[in-house]
Amino acid sequence: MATDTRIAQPDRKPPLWRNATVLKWAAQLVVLAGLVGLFLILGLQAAGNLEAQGRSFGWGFLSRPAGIQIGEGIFTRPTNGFQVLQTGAVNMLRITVSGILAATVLGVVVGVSRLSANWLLNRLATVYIEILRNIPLLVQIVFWFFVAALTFPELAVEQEGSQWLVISNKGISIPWFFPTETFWQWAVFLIGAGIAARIVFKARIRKLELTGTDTHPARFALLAFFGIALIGWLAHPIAGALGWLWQALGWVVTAIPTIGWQVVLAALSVYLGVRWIRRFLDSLRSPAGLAKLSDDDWFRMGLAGVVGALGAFVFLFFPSVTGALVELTDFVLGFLNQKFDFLRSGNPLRFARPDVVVPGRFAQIGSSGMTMTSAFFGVWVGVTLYTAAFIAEVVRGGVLAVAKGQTEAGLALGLRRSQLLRMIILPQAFRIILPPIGNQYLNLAKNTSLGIAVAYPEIVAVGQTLANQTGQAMQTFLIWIVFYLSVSLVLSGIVNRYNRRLQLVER
Amino acid sequence: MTTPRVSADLLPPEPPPEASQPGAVVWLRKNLFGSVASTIVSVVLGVALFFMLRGLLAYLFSDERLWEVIPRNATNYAIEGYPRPNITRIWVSLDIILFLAGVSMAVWKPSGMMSLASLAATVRSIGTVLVLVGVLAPDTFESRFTVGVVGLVLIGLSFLGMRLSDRAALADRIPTLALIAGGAVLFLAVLWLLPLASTTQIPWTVGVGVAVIGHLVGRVLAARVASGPLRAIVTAVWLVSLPVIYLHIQRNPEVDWDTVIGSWLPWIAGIVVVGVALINLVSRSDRERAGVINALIVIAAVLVWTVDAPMVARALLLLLAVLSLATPTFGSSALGRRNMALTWLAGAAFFSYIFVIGDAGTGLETRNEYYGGLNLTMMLAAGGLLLSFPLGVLLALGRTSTMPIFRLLSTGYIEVVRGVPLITVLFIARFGILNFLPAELEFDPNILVLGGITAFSAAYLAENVRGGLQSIPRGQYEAAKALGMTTAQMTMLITLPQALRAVIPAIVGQVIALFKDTSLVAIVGLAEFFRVARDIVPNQTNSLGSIIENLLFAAAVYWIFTYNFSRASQRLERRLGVGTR
Repeated sequence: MATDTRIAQPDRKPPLWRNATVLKWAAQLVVLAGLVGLFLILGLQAAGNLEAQGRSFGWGFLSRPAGIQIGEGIFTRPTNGFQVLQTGAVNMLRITVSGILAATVLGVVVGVSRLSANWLLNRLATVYIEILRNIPLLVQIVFWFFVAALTFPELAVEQEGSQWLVISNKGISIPWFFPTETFWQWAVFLIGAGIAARIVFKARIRKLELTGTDTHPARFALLAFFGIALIGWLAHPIAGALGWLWQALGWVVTAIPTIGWQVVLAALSVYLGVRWIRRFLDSLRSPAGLAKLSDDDWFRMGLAGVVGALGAFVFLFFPSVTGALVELTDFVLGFLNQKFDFLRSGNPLRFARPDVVVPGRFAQIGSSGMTMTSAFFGVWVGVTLYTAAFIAEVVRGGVLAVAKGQTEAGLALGLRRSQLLRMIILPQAFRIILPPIGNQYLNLAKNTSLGIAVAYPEIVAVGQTLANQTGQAMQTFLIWIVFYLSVSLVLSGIVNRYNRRLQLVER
Repeated sequence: MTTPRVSADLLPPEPPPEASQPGAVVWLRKNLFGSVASTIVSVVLGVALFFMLRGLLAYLFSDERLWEVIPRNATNYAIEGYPRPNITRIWVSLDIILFLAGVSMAVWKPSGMMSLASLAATVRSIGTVLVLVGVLAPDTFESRFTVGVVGLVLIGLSFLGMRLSDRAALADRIPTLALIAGGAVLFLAVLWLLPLASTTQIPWTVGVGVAVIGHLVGRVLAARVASGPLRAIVTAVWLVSLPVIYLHIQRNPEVDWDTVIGSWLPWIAGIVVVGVALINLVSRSDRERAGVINALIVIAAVLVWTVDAPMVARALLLLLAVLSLATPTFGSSALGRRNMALTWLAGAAFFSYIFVIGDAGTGLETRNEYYGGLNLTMMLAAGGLLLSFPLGVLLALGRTSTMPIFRLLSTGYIEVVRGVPLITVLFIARFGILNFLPAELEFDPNILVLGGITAFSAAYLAENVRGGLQSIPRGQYEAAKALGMTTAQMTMLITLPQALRAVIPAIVGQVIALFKDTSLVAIVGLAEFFRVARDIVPNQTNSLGSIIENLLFAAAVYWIFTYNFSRASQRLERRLGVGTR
């Protein structure tokens, strides 16, 4: 038997085709090669198909006129494909951000209501959750869209002129503060005010911990924030001096020849790869010496090395990549330069009320207020109510998961129920509910794509139109994937950051 | 103070808590007017709720609502474009499902009982809703008085039930089976008495009869066959019934028997016979010879793509390669050998069947898209779940594997698919994939979209299964290793079964999500249930302006399905005791 010989001759190595490590790597490499081959075949086929149809794969459509009109957004008559996608992306982000805020507030309220001792409130929250989360979101979005478009009152000609609030089947319009051309200069002060408030808050907290007296950290932080914001409101032209900085940076970026940037970027790529490998090795090193490296460790280091080397290779031998990066940086700096001007003055925000205009026989909502079309209303209300139902369940679970002893201890200290909730329960529940709420935020961001069903021009809808107009479907699909993955990455990055800070420090 | 820990079986049963019937005033003071804040909330909410309900009912029962559109289009909602002369095929599919449901009810013996008290509570809430409708509905709703009276009768009945459940200990529990039978009888009575869908009276009655027959057959089988194998067989029949229904019965395939017998059958017969012989040989060989034979089979499976063989032969050889590679691990005993051979025969038969049916054209008298409505929704949900299961398990194993390349590939796939919305996946499946395939290949849009749903669902399923795999205690892995199991044996026999059992509730949750997500295929142009409600019915000339009615109806149908799914999953979770063990 094979086993017996192995015992008799322990130092005899198994043959190659019985060596587990070799077999494992062989199997993986075979599968990898098979996949690469499959993608190669598919890619060649796609290239052949395109050629047969007389088309070619390229990104030129992004800079060519698109011939598309968009219902709402930053460019309603975009001049090129890129502006079309930009409008879709901004529209998507508008719903995502406002939806996240509204869904969080509503979700927490409903979730806490579900635990209320008041029977009516409790029941109402339960009914809300059970109805909303069991109906497909698409049905809800289409429903709200038609509610807004069919059942809201018609816009009357008599309403012409400035209004405070317009609700009609052509949309909802509210008063709003709009940024003006000096907003960016003020924004610099706002960022500074945020940082200052943070510093003040931390300093006051430190003092509170040292002395034990109430130092009002929140009040001082708010005071610092609004103080600097107010100064900025009056003195924002000072920040206009930054325009010179952008200009100078732009000169530097374009003055260095592309080959210089190529070398710098390639070196950076190699350096990052090497640094990753060295840090990885350091993390495995213990006082007893370097631990035995597993297959996995070798693979990781190999991958880091290959990625670093590949980056260097691409930067060195494809100058167009570096050229595009330089161009992009120059474009961004030029854009910033436009936004800052030492001599520019005026209020950074402009208050405007909605208006109704009558260009012909029928009344329309004018452009001065903040207008929400029926499509925006449908998507926004749909995703908000739907996500809030899920957030409510998460909140309820989190509150219930806080140990009962905490409630009892709080009550024993003589806290009122509202204080108990605010100071004892919610801070602890927050730690439990943050990761699942983060998931719900991601779902909300992805669910905005259903706007296409009510012709809301978010990135999927405009991408679809663009693909139909230009015939460049593959590129549009790639843009979608990259866009949504980036949004997911940013959102989960933010949530993870807070999550790490909230976690209990275990010793 | 500590109480001694004693198993619950050893303790004398606790006496039931005193049945205290608090008066209505006490209840109100406790639950609605407990404090000043609570009183304010109750009053404000009560008033708001009153006006909201009144407005809602006034809207729903207004004369302007076109509710008659719904029963008129019931067939469209159910099957949409399916050719009406062939409609018997739909009923036969339904009968198969009802028959299997009847058999399963007998084989699994649902042990759940519903107490009379909780049944009475359900009846009472229905009655309360009806009374509320009767009181608050606008005058335009003629039957509001009847509805109110029915509600009052139901409330009265529920109080009677409460009394009975207090007194008679015997009448306390109602078996689930009796409830289901009662529901079926009620359903038939409504169908025959109300003029809603008169053409379906006879088929539905037949269907219920078939379910009863199925139940009787199941009882006979359960009495004669051991429960383990019987359950396995019934599960297998359920799995096979799906392709049989959607590819065979509803498609009415016209098989080109000349090609099948002339050029396919020799290949199939040859590969099946050789396969049985080879599996037998491999299981009796030592590892060296088994390795050589397996290598030869793998080479044959690759080479067959270069010769002019029918597709079914290529697929069968791939299956044979997979099975023979697994044979040394799982088929070394006599029992294992028999199981491997049986698996091979069943798999080969199934593959051949799918290929023969899939290659055939349809014999229906219709245009191309014959799936539609709720029928298509069901096909997408059930098909997506079934097809994504193997892929999802494979991805989960890949992601937890110790082999870095497999892990990288699985993780990459899962994260990318989970990072993008379903609608982009559907667009890519429906309009993108074809760009990568030879132009002469033609695919049914339904199949392409089903592929997209499968690819999407598999990534989420993989994450669920991974959770299950990671929840298994290390000791299980170590024990398996200590017994000398190979990694494949450990996965298939020890860890994966436990992991799958642990994640059943999560998977049911995913079924719910999948069912809701099927509505998205309306956007890529498939005529499933939601598209019927949004586009097809409201655009008919005699149904114009009925969009909101149709949307509300669609929402109600989705809600009934999903709500019952989620209730069932909660019951399942309690019964499996996941999380409490």
